[in-house]
Amino acid sequence: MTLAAAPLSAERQAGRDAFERIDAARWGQADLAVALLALMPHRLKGAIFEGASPELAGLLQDRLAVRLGGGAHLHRMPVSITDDRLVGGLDLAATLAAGRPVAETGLLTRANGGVLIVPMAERLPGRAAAQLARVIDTGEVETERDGLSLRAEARFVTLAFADPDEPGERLPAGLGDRLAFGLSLQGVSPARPRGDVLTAETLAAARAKLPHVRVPDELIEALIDAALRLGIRSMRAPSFCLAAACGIAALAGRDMITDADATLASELVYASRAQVQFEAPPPPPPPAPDPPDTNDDTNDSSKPQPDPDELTELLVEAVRVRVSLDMAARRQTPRQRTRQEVPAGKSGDMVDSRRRGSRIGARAGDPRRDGRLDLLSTLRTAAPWQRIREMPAGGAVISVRATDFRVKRFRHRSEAVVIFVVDASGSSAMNRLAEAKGAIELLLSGCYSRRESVALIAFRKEGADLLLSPTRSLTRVKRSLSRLPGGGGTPLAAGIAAAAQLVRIERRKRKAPHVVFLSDGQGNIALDGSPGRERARQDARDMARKLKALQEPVLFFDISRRPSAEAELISTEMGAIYRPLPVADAARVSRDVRSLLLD
Amino acid sequence: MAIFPFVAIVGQESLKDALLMSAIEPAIGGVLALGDRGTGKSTAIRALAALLPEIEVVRGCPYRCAPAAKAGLCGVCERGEKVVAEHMGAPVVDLPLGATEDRVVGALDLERALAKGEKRFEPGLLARAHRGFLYIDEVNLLDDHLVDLLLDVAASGENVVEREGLSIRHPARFVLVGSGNPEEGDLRPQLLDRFGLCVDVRTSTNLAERMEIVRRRDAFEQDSAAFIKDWSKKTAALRKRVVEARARVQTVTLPDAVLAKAVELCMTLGADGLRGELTLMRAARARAALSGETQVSMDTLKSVAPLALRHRLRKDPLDDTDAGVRVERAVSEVFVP
Repeated sequence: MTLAAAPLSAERQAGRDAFERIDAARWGQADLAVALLALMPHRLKGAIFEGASPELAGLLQDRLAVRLGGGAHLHRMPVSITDDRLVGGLDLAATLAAGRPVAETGLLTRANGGVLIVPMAERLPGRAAAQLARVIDTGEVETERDGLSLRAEARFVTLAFADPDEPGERLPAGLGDRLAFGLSLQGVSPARPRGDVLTAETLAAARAKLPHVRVPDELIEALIDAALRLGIRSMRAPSFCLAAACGIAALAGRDMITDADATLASELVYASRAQVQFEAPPPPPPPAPDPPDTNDDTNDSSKPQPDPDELTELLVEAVRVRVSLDMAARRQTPRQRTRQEVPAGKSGDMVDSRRRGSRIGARAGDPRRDGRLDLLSTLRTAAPWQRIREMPAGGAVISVRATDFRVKRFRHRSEAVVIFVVDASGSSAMNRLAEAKGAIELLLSGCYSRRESVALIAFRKEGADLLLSPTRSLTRVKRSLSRLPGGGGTPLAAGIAAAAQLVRIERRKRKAPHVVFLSDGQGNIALDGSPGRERARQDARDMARKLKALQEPVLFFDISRRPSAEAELISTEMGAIYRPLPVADAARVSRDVRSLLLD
Repeated sequence: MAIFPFVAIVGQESLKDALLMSAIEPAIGGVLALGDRGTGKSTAIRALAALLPEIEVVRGCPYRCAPAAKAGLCGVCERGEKVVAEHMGAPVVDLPLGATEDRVVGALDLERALAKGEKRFEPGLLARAHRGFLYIDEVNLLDDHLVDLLLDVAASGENVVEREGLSIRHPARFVLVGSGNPEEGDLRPQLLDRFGLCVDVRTSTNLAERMEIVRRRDAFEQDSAAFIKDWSKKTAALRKRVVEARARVQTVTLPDAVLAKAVELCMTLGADGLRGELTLMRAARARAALSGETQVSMDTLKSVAPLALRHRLRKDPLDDTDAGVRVERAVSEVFVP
């Protein structure tokens, strides 16, 4: 036994060593990114770190604050931040006390000169992300709210942390494009990092060196060419990469950018943006590049490289290796729930529809009965009458009467998300997926006055995949559905579980999820991916009950040629409306979804 | 904040053309720029402010009325008291996504009302954009009711405010410019065709062009003042062209043969309503004026057709063909030699 076990453990040990080296390299790069941000904060703008443990995140932001110097302050931007907290608005308490409008500065203005931390960036709503993106672009906050019109400088470094381990959570792309670096720290353990080796003197020397770093044309060409070959269309990426390469050279005290500098810069900037699909290498992966040491003079590779094509090849290859390593690390790391699961049931969502949705104005009403008081409108209504009204006793500044009350109006219907869950197993997979695709496109193109988004989950082989995260964009639908996987067993339970998961995510975003199944209800793969009809059936029923407990509308299309009792049973378990669909018909699916679910 | 010079923008010819044409002939009805991230949509629009010639305004008029104008004036200027003229930069108002409706349309001045019991209207962003441009980045993320409101005002040229006991109307003629990324959600179709021109903004895949973009960006960020100065001659030249084109645009003639082709093109494409034809003609005139021509040629018509029509085609969800390609196909059909 021992004889057989020994080589195995040696192999494992080698694998573990490889991973440790990669971890050290990964941390080294994150640390370098933060050093570069401290060196040129206005040009590089910030970074997104994926899968960083809280300890590492804390370490990175502290190091950045120290390196920026001058007591740079940290500000956290919660994902649920409202517009007025973000860009400023009227300070209601102060306004009432003073009897005149008093402005309150927003988070982005306060962050000026400091560091903005965005935890859980994957959950940042598009609107907040777009507002942040604009401030990153222009360096100033414009407040046009509540009768106030203000402008204030707002230059800061943004450190976003994302933990996209849940399906359906995409990073706000407009934000990622505006921050120079995107790095994965998935699985890097907090024990690894050592002390800060970057001294203030090195940084000061690099600052002085920076304007003297020369940029050869071949380098620009190679950086741009590499970006194109990696499918990166945005023009911001090559600019960031060029700046980062200059910064790396300056940190090493050189005025010459080496190939190694350019390679490192490409890994930092391009890896998270690359659009080209790579195959992940089987673990254990090939040995990683040495951890970068910012103080080291790597002059051995500093001989001028006259051929930009060769350099391009080098850069593309380096980014490819980095992307594959990131993918491998993602698979290696067991999915740890870093966040609390939201308990089943409608906690927090049971809000009155009068208070749900987005605000669209104010109307006269009684706040006790009709919803939330709109203080500003109320004051505006009361204001013109102040002269002729008698001041109430008790030293009040303003006299407000019941007729002045204005309540906020909200858009009543919160936005619907239709989640298609499609059986992509077996031979007819392509047919069914094509059906779902047709229905999705019809549904989207048909919603003229509506604003629904759709998502698509397909289940096949051992599990369920989110093929399309919720979107309203016909363009994205077409792009991501053009290649559909199919075939294999039928993991119905996994499909239902994935749907329930997405329902919870969407509800947290204050959307109204609706689920549409296209399946024959005959699962043969259990939740853990093992085959076996009996376990599979039991798991599917359990998951169905869980979905039902979420109490969102579900529509079940039985797509078997002869409608089966089993499908109807599972449909009942999940509290769905059951519809047999023996003949494929995208138009009917789209019509039924509209009439049975949405209207 | 230093603004990247309009003339230093590499490529993006359609977007630049569309903006210039709207600056020459505001009746075209606005520009919608759709496309990838990092293509410099916002850069181009923000750069426009620094390019456009200054306007003459009545001193102290919150609505920036033109001293020489006879009609379309605000309530105060209409009374025709003696006015002092002054110059100011062309307004390009950048509407923040977090703006509230009261700041967009204007509202009761709260401070004055509370302190003095005086009912005074405080003009909003629509007043500030009068005679200039109003820009909304990520127009698909702005609240629907605000977008509808902006389009209404842009079409009528007048902002009517009925709120908080105020009843105010003031001129608000501006060119509405919206930008967005279709990957973040399509625009509502009824909104699309209310923009005069629609530009499909793509990043260039030409290596030399991309190198030039990065080089200029780098130079600008190293020393923006010197960079702007280097381009100031070209900026002045283009500004002069815009001024001249504005003076000439109303006299540019449109031959019957060209008009007939424009109508035929719209019919071939099934672009509904008159809006397509009107925009096509106005855009062609502006383009001709910009190139110093006195008459719209067939080539000019052809060159503006994709901008004016691509967003007016009936949508077929199962037809993947790019709208611009469909317009070009129709152009080649209609213009058989």
